[in-house]
Amino acid sequence: MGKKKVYLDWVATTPVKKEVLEVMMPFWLEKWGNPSSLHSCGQEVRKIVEKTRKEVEELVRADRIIFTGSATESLNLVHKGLIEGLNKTDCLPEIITSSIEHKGVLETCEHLEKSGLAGVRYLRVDGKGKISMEELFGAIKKETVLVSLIWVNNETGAVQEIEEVGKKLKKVNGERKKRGWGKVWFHSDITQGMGYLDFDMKRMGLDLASMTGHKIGAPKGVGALFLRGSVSLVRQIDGGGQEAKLRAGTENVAYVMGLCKAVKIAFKGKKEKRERTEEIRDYLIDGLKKMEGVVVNGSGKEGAPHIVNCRVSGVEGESLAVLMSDEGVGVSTGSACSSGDLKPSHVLTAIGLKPEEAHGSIRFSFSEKISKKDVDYALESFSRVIKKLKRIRKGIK
Amino acid sequence: MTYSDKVMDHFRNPRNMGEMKGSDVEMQVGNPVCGDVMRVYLKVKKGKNWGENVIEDIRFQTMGCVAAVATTSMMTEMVKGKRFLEVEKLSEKAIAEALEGLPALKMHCSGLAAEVLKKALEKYK
Ligand code: FES
Repeated sequence: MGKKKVYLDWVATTPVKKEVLEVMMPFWLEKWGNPSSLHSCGQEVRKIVEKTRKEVEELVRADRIIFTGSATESLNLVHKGLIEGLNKTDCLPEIITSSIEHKGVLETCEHLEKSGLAGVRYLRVDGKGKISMEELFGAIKKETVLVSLIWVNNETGAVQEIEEVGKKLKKVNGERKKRGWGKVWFHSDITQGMGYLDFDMKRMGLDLASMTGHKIGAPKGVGALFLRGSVSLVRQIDGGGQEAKLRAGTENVAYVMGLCKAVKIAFKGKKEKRERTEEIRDYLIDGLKKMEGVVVNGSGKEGAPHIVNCRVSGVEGESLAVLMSDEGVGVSTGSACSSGDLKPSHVLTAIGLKPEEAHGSIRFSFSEKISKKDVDYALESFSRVIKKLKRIRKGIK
Repeated sequence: MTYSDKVMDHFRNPRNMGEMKGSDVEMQVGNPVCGDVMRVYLKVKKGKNWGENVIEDIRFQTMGCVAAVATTSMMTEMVKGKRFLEVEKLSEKAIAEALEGLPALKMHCSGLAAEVLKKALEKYK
């Protein structure tokens, strides 16, 4: 008999949705033309891609969508492309971002700093993972060109007030215009927000937004960058004129179609999905709180519907995750992208955890597909696993 | 990152794990970067000199990653019943090899297991 399996790592990736796959299939076997070709074989595909692009642009209220290979690629394009696209001046342009961004932003910013192309200001966050509006707006100066904030943090589920930032930034930009200063553009990594929170470029005041498909039921290997207004970027992949000359390379048509379908599905019944997932989250948090030595990290019930991060005193995260996997429960130690590193998670230390607390932390992430029964099983497993590890460490002082 | 079957076996079923009452030496070491901690207890049969002392029994307790648990477990198996002079130079590499290798990032776990043994032997004079 197969052991029960409960996948609680939906932040790492999600299964491809059947409807998504169905939309993709014809673009391999029937409509396989290159959209850049002038003959009917290509033009037929071009028409479909552009029509679908338009539909999604309207849905999210973006002026343009650039399809990329991943959220990380979109993030690179935004930060490097924006800095490279600025009119040359004497002063060093500055980016303001937070200390809890995805590596795709942090490493790109570091690259820009090291190459002497931009200065970067990293905003602190409080214990719940939120930036302070005061610190952000106090940090904006003449040289500031970009504010880049992750909407939903992928490790703790902290949600930033993007719309509020967008509104305030609009005022700031009005003032700047009068003084003849350049605009401060606004970007968000919306990857983990897309599935559950209301997304609207216009309402949120965003000029740029990056995401990937595989967190919302599209395959891995396709991402998107949404643009609004007159922001200008220098492309990072040179070659042909695809994607409005912002990303060269033949369009990955089937995957692009898959991503668009997944976005459309995400927009359907979002409220119900969110409420159902929040119920599961709260149920899990209540269960965790009853366990001895377990503390929920960060935003807890105020955070995103599908992410719960907690720590267990006196045990280590990797051991926890491996034994959970033996129980059939897939969970993660912080971000999957940084697990090649000994250092404690930069996100958990930024919200004030001591290194040993960060090392003993585990992330549960789920979807509306997860039931309370699944959560019960995960909690039982968790308590068995903790007991086992406490036995191994018993005499340690 | 993937672990060998041997590492997983020692992690899932640690050998010589637990406290020892009436031990002759106790030693604890930790790695400040990753935060992992290992503790060993030795029962020693006195020999005619330090090198001839025999590790009659050994137990360990570990707070740490998969490799930390597995390397301490393997180390105890490798030294149990041996004379001090046979094992005082037990290296991080030897423990890792006995476990069919460790990911590069996890070699320091093996180093910690070697260190806790060495310090325990030194403490027993
Ligand atoms: S990660 Fe440091 S001992 Fe294993």
